[in-house]
Amino acid sequence: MISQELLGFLNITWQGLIMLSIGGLLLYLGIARNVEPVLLLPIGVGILLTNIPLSGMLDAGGLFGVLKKAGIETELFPLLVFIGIGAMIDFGSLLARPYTVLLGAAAQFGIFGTFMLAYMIGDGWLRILPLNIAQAAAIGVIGSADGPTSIYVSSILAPELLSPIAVAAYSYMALVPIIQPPIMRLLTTREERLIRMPIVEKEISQRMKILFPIIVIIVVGLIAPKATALIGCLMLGNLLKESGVVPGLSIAAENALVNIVTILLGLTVGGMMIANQFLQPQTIIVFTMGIIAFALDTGAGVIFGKIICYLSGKKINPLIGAAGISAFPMSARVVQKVGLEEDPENHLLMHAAGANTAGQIASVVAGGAILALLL
Amino acid sequence: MLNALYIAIIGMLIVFAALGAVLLVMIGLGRLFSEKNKNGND
Repeated sequence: MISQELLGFLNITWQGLIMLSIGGLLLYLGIARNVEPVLLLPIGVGILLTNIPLSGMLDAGGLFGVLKKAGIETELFPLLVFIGIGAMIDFGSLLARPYTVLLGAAAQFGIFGTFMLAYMIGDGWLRILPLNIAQAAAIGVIGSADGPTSIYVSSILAPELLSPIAVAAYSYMALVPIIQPPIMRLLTTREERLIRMPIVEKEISQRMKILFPIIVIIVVGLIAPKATALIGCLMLGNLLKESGVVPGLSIAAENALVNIVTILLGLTVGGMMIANQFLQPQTIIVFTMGIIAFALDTGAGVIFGKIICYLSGKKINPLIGAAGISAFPMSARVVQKVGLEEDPENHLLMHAAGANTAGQIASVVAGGAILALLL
Repeated sequence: MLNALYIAIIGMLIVFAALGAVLLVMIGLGRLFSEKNKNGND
């Protein structure tokens, strides 16, 4: 007689079936629709594996139990990914246009605005859902539009929400071309969108490109110490590239390191999406708040762009403020596209890229600030 | 709720302070190296 314990399908629940369907959906989006396949493919497989009954994948000795303990609870995986991201970033556009750093700062308002909103509907005031201040903050950090920062902060503040937060952050990053343009058009006039920004490339010396990551580590670390790990790893990756003396390490960071860790991170995030933990009312709140966070980021960036536009005597196109969101390089391309729709001769990409890379730094600082203020 | 408002305001101030410091660093580096380039060419 076959023991019931050997037959997984006798133990499947309707919640498990829903999660297997969600896993299948993410795989479809990643493979057939090419929506962030680098993340959605491993996440989708992780969901399938962990929701097979009796598989034991998330048990202490199971694959996902081990990976979760080694890479998520230690915050190691997001930090290693950041080394690779740093090796891919070129801060040249930012260094050529220092004022764009403030657009990156302004666009982080979405984090704090969403945090307040989440706390307001939770334990802070309305008590519609049981969301404490740490959970509200972790949800707000979806507005960093940065997967590793979202995972890093939520693994510390609200590990029980890590999976939906990670999936929301990466999904909405892929949806930036849909989320941002309507908000950009709503908050700007046609006259503002038509402001031309000529491309005058300032030569940035290699010495400056080398000193920048070193000084940023020290400056940002001293102001927001809890951001040191994130900013340190990001700038380490950048320094590996810009120093020019360790091409092997730079290539490894940009390729092997980031790809290997992405596989493990995606699998583990998906592996943590087990039915009884993921199918909760809080998951719907996370996804709803996530889109609000991205919208607030875009709005704040564009409004600050308008302020800079008027202060500069209408020389700066406020659309580039939308690129202050950390979704790199997608957001800069969206700004370029919206600008070209109004004027096919107005190329905003390099200006937006400056704001976009500034947003990467700003989102890390914001994550560190949230941790410092709550721990 | 006031606690959350405090966190939000101070958080944004920290972000602007840090990025403002980065801005000063960039301006400083830009001037330092453009002056050195000028002196080097003299």
